[in-house]
Amino acid sequence: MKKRTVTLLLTVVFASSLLLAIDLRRSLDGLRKVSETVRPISEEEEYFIGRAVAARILAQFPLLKSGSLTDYVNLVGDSLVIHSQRPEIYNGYHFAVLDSDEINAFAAPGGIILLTRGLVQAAASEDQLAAVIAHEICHVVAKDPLKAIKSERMKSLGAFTARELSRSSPQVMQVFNDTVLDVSGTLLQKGYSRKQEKQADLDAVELLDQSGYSPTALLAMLQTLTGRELAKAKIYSAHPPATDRCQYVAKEVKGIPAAPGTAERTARFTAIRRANGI
Amino acid sequence: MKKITALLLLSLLPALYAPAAKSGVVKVVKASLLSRPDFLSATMATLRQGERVEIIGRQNSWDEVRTPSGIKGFLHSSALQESKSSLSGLLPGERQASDDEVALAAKGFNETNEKKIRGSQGFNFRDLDWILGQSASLADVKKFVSQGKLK
Repeated sequence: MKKRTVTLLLTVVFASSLLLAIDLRRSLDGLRKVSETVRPISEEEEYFIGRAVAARILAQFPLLKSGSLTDYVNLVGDSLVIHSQRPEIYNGYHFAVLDSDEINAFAAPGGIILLTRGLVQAAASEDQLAAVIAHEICHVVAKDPLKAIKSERMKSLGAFTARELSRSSPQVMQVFNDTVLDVSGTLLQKGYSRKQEKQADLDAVELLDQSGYSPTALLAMLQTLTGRELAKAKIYSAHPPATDRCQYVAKEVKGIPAAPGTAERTARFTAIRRANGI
Repeated sequence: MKKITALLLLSLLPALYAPAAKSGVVKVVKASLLSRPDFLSATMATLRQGERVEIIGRQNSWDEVRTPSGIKGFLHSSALQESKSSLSGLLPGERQASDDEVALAAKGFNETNEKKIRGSQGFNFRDLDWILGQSASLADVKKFVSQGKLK
């Protein structure tokens, strides 16, 4: 009798625990569904937003379709990316040059990074070019382009039904277009916050050092641009004042020796520029 | 005997919540499985989005993984969505990999959206397609790094 009672009791405890486990799981699933409405943008969504943003930039600036120059900026970019905190991104990083005299660079979400011919011309070495590319990569790593999206967009997205989302209803398309405008508006006109820019500069110094480029190249690039036609350098118009940037970057790179191999890198940089008439 | 059976059943309870072998799913279009936690090491295999791997270790930002076909190597953690699977996934009404689906889903912004705006004024997808066709291989990057005395 005693044995039966114990067995019965244990069976009841086991069954209750099992039911509780199922119930807890279901509750968690319910919570998950609610959280989906405000969940972060997925890697794939980031990529498709980035494609549309890049396509907008490419509608405003002609692309310099040089295979050799594009290969070169991809190699410089990837040499940095492999040391970044986010080397694997949905469809990989891609770098290209826009055929514009303007000194500018844009990092679209999802790792599509566009530099202008004017910027390649303004850089005195591969290390200086790498410094600007590193700054842009750090924006992508920090997901700064996505932070330009107004929170109401993601809230609206959460309110759509699965059917509306899968069919890209006109309402969903409106949110998509507004999202692309939020990001492209920040990249092309408004600019990031000074805090975001400063962080990207400081992270770029670290990334350059880890990749074997001279971190002092960022300071040199800033000094070059400060002393040149600053009005032409739109990349810096929305950034913290160049003198401020020089000050905090100088403090950051103080004591870091120049990386070896500068001569070899400058030689190939000069050759690729010459081959492309830059 | 019955008591022993009941006790055995009870002892299984913690297993419902205990994590089984960790697994993960590749969340990027393609990722290199490397021999060492270093992009400049040998590529063991190329894994595609959605492929599942067993996570057998971790070194800083790298996961040491084993593929279903038994290939071992390192994947950077930014390529992997870790699954929180356990025996509880076997409970009635449960579906495995729901976390993975959430992480991978392009819920609102996807290829269908893009198809609707392709050709619209203010977007140049043709040049974008050209750019995306110009990427460098890891082998090219290794050569470039070596020639430029980079790390």
